[in-house]
Amino acid sequence: MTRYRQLRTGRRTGEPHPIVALLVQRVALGVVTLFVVSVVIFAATEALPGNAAVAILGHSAAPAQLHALERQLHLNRSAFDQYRSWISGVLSGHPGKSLANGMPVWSVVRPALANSIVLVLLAGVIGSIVGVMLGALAALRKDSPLDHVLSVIALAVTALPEFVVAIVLIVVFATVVWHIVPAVSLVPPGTHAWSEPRQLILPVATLVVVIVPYILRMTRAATVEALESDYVEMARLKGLPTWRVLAVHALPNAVAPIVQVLGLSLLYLAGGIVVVEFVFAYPGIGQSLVSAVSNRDVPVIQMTVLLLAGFYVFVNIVSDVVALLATPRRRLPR
Amino acid sequence: VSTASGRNGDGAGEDAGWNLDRRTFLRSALVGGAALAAGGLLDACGSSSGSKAKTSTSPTTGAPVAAPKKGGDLRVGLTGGSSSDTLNPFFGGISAIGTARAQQLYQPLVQLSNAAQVQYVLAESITPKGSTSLWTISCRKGVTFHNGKSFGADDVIYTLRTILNPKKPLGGATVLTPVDINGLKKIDDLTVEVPMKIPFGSFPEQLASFWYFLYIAPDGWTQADKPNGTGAFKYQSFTPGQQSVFVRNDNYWKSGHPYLDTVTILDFQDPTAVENALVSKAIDCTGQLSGSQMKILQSTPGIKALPSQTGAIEPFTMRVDKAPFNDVNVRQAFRYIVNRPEFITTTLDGFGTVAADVTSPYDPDFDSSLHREQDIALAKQLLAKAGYSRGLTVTLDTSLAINSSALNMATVFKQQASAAGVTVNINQVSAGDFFGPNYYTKAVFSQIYYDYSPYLAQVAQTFLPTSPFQETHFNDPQYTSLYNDANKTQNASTRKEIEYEMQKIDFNQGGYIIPCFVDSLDAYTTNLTGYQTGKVGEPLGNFNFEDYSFLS
Repeated sequence: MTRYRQLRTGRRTGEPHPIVALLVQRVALGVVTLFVVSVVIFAATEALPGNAAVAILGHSAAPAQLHALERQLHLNRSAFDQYRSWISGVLSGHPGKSLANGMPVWSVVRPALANSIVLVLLAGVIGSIVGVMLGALAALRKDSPLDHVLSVIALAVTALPEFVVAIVLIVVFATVVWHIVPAVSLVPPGTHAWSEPRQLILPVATLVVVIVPYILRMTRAATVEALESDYVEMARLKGLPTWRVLAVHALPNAVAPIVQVLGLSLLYLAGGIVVVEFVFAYPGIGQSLVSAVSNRDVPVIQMTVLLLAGFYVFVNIVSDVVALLATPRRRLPR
Repeated sequence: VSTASGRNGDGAGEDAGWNLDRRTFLRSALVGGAALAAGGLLDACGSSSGSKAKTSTSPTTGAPVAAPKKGGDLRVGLTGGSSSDTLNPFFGGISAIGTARAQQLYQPLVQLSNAAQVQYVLAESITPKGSTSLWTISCRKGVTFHNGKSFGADDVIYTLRTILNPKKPLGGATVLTPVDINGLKKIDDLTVEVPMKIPFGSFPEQLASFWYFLYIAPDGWTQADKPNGTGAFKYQSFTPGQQSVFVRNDNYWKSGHPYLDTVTILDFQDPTAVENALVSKAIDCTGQLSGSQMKILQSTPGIKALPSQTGAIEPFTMRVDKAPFNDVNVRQAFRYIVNRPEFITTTLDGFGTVAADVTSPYDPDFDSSLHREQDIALAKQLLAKAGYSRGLTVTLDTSLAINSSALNMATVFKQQASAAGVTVNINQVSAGDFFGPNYYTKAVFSQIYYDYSPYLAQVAQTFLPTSPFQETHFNDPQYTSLYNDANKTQNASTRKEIEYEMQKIDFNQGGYIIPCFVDSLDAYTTNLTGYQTGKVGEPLGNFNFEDYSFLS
C-alpha cells in the first residue's frame, strides 16, 4: 500500500503514470520490431540458396519436373508479391499454407508450439526455483566450501554447450549406464508431449542444467550485495532469524537483477530448445523450424520466427516492468 | 538458428540503465554457447573416420526356423523425412523414408529383389511381342486394392498415363521416355499392350530399377483421395515429418503375409537420436547408419547390426565436355589416383567393396574382369600427356545433400590426388542448392549417389545425350548406338557382347570415378526376425516389412 501511495503522490499532474508510459512505448516499439523482423526474415529466406521445389524433389529434380512443381507452388512470382500476400494474410488472421505440404500454416505450427511452450515453461520454472535457491544459499554461506563448490560447478557447466549436456544425460540415464528414462521423445501426432511425462524428463533436465548456473550466479551476486547493506546489518542486529533476514529483507531488494536474469533465461530457452529438440527428436517449434528451413518452406519459417520474436518482445517488456516495479527508486519520475 | 533468434531479441529490448551492458554481455555469452553447441553438432555429424579392418559383410538373413509369429507392432526409425513428404504413390522414391512408406502401401509391376534381380510383383509377365518395340504386360490375377477394387489393365494404363502426362511429367517419366503413351492398348481386363517409340529391350529391368517411382495407382486416383494401393499394409495415419502408421491388409494377395499388425515409421532429424532410440528400444529397427555408428552397434547387446553389400555407387563426376576433363587422359589419370581400399577404410569405416569405375555389379551382363588399382606414376604420365606436367588445379563441388559421406569422400580424394600433383579445391554447396539449377549437372567436377541399377537402366539415366541426369555430359555416338543395339536385340548373348563393349568404353573413357560400392548399414533389435540383406542400396532390405515378425 505504501508503495502505491508514494507512486501516486510522486506523479506530476498531466503526465501519464511512468509504468503506463513505459508500457505504451515498449508495445509500440515491439510492433515496429516485429514488422522489421518480418521483413528481415523474408529477405533472409529469399537469400537462402535453392527453393521449395528443389528441396522437395532433391535428386529426382529433372528440369521438367522441377519447373512443373515451381509453377504449382507459385514460386515464379516476385519476392515483393510473395511478401505482400503473406503479410496481409497474417494481419487478417490467415497466414497462408505451407509450401511443403499445403496444410494451413497455423495447423503446422500450433501443435509444435504447444509442445515447446511446455518445455520452456517447465524448464524455466524448475530452473528458476533451483537457481534462485542455490544462489541465495551460496550468498548466505559466502566463501564457505559450499559456495566455492557451487561456483566451480556453475562455471564448468556454463562452459558446456547444451548439446554436450544432452549427450551426457542420455548416455548416463538412457542408453549406456542406466535405461531409466527414454532417450528420445517420441510424441505421436495428435497427442501432446505431456501425455507421456517421462519423455519430458531429459529435455527439461538438459535445459535446467544449462540455465541454472546463470540464475545461480546472478542471484548470488545480487543477494551478496543486499546482505552487505546497512539495513541487513540492522536486521541482523535486531536479532532476526537468518531465514527472515534473507527472505524478507535481502531477497526483495535483489529481485530486480534476478528478474532480469530470469527473463534472459526464458529468452535463451526459446532459442536453446532448437538444439535440445533436435537431439531428443522432440516435436517442438525448434524442430519444425529446422525442417521448414531445410524445405525452404517460407510461410512456416516466417510464422515461427514471428512467434519467437513476439515472445522476445513480450518477455522483455514483462521483465522490464517487473524489475521496475521491484525497484521503488527507479519507478518514480525523475 | 539460435543466432537468428538472438538478433530478434536485440531489436526487441532497448534497455534503459545499467541492465543494458550486462544483458548484452550475457546474451552474447548465451548465443556464443548456442553457436558452440551447433559446432559440436556438426562435428558429431561429420565424424566417421577410423581405420579398422573390414568386417565381414557376407549376406546373412535373419530368417526364422519356426513359423513366424503373428502380430506385433513394428516401430521403424529413419532420418530424412520432411514436412513436404506425401503418400502420393508417384513420389514414393524421393527419399528413403518416402520409399519405406510407399513400399508398405503400394506395389509396382516389377521391382529389384534383395538380390538385385528383376522380380515380378503386380505383373505376371512382361514380354516383347515380335520385336522389342512392342510389349505385353500381363497383370497378376486376384489382386485387390485396399478399398476392394480389383487390380487390372485399366490401373496400369492410368498409372503410365499419369506419370507420362506431358504437361506435368512425374519422377518416373524419365524411365518411360520410349513409351508411346497414345498407343497404350487394353487387350483384356488383365493385359496391356505397350508400344515403344524406339526399340526398348531393357523395358522390364528399367521398370524394375526405378520401381519406387512406378507404383501402381488405381484407375482415376487423385492426390485428394485416400492412399489406396495393393500393398501388405493399409493406410491408417500420416503426419509429414513426424510419423506414419500402417495396419495389416487382411486381403493381401500373398497368403500368410504380413505377420505384423501395424507398422509405424517415425521420422528423425538427427542420426544420433535414431541410434539412441534403437539402443533404448524405443524403435525396433533403423537403416542409413554411418560406419562409426555401425561399429558401436555391432558391440551393443540386444542389437543385431547387419551390413549389406550393395551395388550402390557414390561416384565423382567429371564433365567430359569441359576442360580439363574433355581430355580423356585427365579422366583416366584421376581414376588411377584413387587408392580404393584405403578410400573404403577411411570414408566408410570399411563398409564397402572395391569398384573399377563401372556400374551395376549384379547385372548378369556385368564384366567382372575389369579392375583398376592406384598407379600414381601412370596418373602423372597421363597428366603430362594432357599438358599438365606441372600440376593441375580443379574445384570439386560437393554437398551433404548427396550423402552424409560425400564430404569425407571429397577430402580423401583431395589427399590422394596431391600425390599426383593435382590440387583439389573443395567447394561445399549448401544442401538446399545442390540439386538446384546452378550446380547439379552444371558442375564440372562433383559427386553424386545412386542406388544399384541394372546396367542399361543406369546408362539410360546418366550416360546418353537424352539422359535426364547427365552429370558427365557423356555423348559418345558409338556408345549411344551400342545402347540402341542392345535394346534392339532379343538374343541374350548378343546383348551381353554389346554390354561388355559399352563397359569397356566406360572403363577407358567414362566420366565417373567409382572408387567403391557402398554398403547399406541397418540395425535391428534381437527380438525381430524375417529381415534380409539387400543389394540394391535401399535400407532394411527394401523395407520388406511384410516378411518381418517378432520372436516374442
